[in-house]
Amino acid sequence: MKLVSFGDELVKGKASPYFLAQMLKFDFVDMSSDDTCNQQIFRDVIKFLCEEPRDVFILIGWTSGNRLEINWNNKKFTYRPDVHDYYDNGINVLHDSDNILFNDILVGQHRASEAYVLQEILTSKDIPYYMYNTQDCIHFNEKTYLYLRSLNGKNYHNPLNKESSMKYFTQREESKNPDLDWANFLYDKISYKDGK
Amino acid sequence: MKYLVAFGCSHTNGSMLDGVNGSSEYNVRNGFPGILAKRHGYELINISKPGGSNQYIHRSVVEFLTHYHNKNDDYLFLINWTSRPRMELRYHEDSNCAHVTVGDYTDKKSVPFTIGTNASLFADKSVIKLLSYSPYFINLDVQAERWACWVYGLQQLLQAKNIKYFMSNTCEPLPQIAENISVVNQLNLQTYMEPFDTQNCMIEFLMDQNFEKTSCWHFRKDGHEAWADKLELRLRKLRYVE
Repeated sequence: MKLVSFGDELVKGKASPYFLAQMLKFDFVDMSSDDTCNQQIFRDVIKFLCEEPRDVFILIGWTSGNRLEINWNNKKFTYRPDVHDYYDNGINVLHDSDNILFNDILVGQHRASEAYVLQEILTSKDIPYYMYNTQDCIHFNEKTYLYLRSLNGKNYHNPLNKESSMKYFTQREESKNPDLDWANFLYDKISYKDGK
Repeated sequence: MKYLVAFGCSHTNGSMLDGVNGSSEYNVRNGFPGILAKRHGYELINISKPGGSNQYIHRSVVEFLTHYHNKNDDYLFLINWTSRPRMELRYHEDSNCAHVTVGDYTDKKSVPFTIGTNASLFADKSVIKLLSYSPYFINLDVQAERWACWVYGLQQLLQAKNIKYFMSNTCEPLPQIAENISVVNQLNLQTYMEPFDTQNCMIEFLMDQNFEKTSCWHFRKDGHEAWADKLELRLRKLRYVE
């Protein structure tokens, strides 16, 4: 059995998914990447599923919703509302439109839609999985409520609460080894152990 | 009840069908989705928006499933993908800005955004400012990758839910590029009409047949009838309609 981990730079390498794989006695496949965004994570998982994988447990760490992939003069990276020190100062003009580019309702709707689609596909393919947020949450309001209600909460750790995200959990616990602590936390949460 | 639920952009919305309006109740009910619904005894639900992006189309299918779908009803989904240089934006809830179009379950805060759109269509300066920079964050190769993934996602989802569906392209074919080829190879070509072929996109197909297009590349009733005929042939093959 392999644990295949998708996510951002916070879960890349010898981070929590790596330790979780050890706890579960699974092989570890790291599909996470630096400076990714949720749209890219969705595509990475879809591409992986198209390879018809067998004997895998899929772990998805959704990143911040405030990341937009851009291609600025052939340099690809994510544009973020809280970053201003880009290599080209011209990029900062986009900040004038951050309120539109990162509308929390629309970001929440798209994010919940893609999580829902992946949950349904993984369930239909009988592939065990677990989702969590690495650093923020899906915005909850009347326009996102029904999307969120459709998500399987048993396989997605508290998507509505920022403090339930990995980053906030580990900061709150003032952990000396946050990756190991989050791995332990996930180990307790997931029901898929020993192939059951 | 039997429902034909149509998702798409202006072509699905019937833009300019009446020769006057970009979006009107008459156009929404009498374009190719309405024609097919009437022919085969379906109630029409038309969830389309002029300028709507593939991102919007994907979200609106999920929205319908999570908000309005009733397990006791019979559905046929017609998903009509559009062109790549588009994305969905949203006006702030507290602002007076609205993007009003006609259709079912419309949301006036949802803003269709296309590279090169006329700025006068937007009510918020923040959106207008984005027009100059849109090619930087609407990269066409990334859009082709996203499009293939949305198609695959919906294909698997609708199949798992046992919902009849059929997909077609209205504006352009789905490009096959290195970044999406593994996904493209998994698409169901029975339920997605020649996705890679320009001649089987609504615009090109109708122009090849010499149907008159409007100055904004839309079609009148005769064009919609012809496109409905073409889709109907495929729906018959799938035994979705008699």
